[in-house]
Amino acid sequence: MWLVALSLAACRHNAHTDPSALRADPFAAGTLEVPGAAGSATASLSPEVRAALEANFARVHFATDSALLDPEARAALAANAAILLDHRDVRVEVQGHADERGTVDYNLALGQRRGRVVIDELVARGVGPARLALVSYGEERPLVAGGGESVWAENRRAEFRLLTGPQGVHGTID
Amino acid sequence: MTPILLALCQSALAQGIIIDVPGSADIPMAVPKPQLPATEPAALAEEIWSVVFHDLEFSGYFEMQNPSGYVEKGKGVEPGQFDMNAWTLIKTTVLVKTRVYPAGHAACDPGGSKMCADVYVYYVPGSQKLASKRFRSTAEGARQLGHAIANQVLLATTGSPGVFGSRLAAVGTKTGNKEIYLMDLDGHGVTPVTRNGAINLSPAWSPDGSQIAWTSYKKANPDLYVKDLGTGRTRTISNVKGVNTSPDFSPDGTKLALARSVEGDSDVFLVDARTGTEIRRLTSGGGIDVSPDFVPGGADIVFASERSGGSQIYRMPVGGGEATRLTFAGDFNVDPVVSPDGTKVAYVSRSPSGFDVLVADLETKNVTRITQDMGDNEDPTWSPDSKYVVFSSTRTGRSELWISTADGRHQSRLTESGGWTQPAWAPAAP
Repeated sequence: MWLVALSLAACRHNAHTDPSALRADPFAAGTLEVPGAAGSATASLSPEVRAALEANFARVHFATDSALLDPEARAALAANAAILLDHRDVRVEVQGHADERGTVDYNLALGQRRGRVVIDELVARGVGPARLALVSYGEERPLVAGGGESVWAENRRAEFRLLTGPQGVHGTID
Repeated sequence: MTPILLALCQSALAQGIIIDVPGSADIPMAVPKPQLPATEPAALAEEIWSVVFHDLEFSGYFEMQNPSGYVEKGKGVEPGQFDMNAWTLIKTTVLVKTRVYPAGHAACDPGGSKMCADVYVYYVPGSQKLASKRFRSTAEGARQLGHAIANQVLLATTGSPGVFGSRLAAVGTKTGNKEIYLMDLDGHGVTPVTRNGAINLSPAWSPDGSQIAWTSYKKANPDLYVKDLGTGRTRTISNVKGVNTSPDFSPDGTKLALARSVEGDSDVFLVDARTGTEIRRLTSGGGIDVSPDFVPGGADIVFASERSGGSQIYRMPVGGGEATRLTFAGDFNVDPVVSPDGTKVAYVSRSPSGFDVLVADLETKNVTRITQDMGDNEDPTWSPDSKYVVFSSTRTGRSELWISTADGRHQSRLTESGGWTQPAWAPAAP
């Protein structure tokens, strides 16, 4: 319904959204948007809907060896925060990434710093910190293979993943 | 060789030493094929010879003379069994003669399963035998026999044994994900340490070589574990939500220094190596603090820190106290590793062309560049004798392990496939 449509509209990075996912409305039961209530859990969503929802979250990119948020990154995070504020049963994992340059251990710490900055921004926009997990992948999970500045720029990023399993369940479903 | 250098060699020989620093690769050496009982096929002797020849070439001390130029026809190895003039003629300085007996041979292990290799090391200008020794091994141990011979040659010519046959831990990707492996220094004998299908990083040896600490995502967070190589058991050392990485064992093996993030950027902690219990937090704030490495003796660590802006190398006491900045050139220096003799620190520095391995002398502060304009060169680890550095390099277009003498003059590739990073040289056998 309108929740999904709204969050799709808010995001420019949803190239992989499957239209069929929109018809499989996860919120048809109408149990959402009651702050603090145990509504339908993330884990109950179908894989297609989960993927569609997850694709709504914009990636955030960074300059070399930096975790500063530029205006574009702040705009993307504003949109991501809006999704999270609309879907209060959703928990996400923020994944911090670095490009391949520099050592593995330094880049793990750098990915952690980027993820932390993103989470701090979301919290500042009203998202409850308990809904945000953080993991750094350093240079271990490049988005694009290869080298060169354009590739490295793609790989210096933070991404969002919907959490599943017990950690991701915000309440239970009978 | 000039008469002056010859005289130097001869006076040094009084102490049994011809040369003491690898890298010049200018001592002419001949290593003829092993003598083998006439009825035996040559394959075994060829394999051992090949290991010896390549190890000695690899050592960086010798100019290996081309075997096609050898003029000696006889095959005797013992003094008096061959004509030394045949080697004087082609200006050989060190002659390495070997003799191999296959498993169970009457002259080695009659009716048994052992094979033997004898090595004779000669200083040709003085017509002098420097050393001779017999090595025994099982039939499968041909490569190790070769390494033992090469080490004996280095002991006879440099005064300290070589490092051949020693093992590396490293991160490899042949299964498609990063796992920890062990391998011989020459890239042979690859065996897995981890097989969990997750990302595995940053291996570090316990000082007795019995355990490996490393970082793994096997529980979806980069946590730090220690595996006992003897029992195969793994224990969790540090698993705070966040980064747990870059472990290094204290010289007595009881503690681990590591980097982990608790609130903000990663800091350096000291924990119990058996239980993971925190002993002390060594750094706080000041940006990313990572990659601690104990200075021999165990009183100090070196580490990388952003406290002054870009990452630089610092040294601090583990008992508490001020950190001292060690590097000033360059705007990004990380991953310091102190040589086992405590005299030098190898580290990684960003340059316009990529990342390079540098070695700084802790006494003189002189910095030696090991790599330049050769792609990205990272993850230095020292040989137990402090004479070599192994590191990863992308100079061939893929990430491989390379060895260099500590002066950077002589470098060789160890691996024959890509995807290798983060080597850690096993400690010397106790």
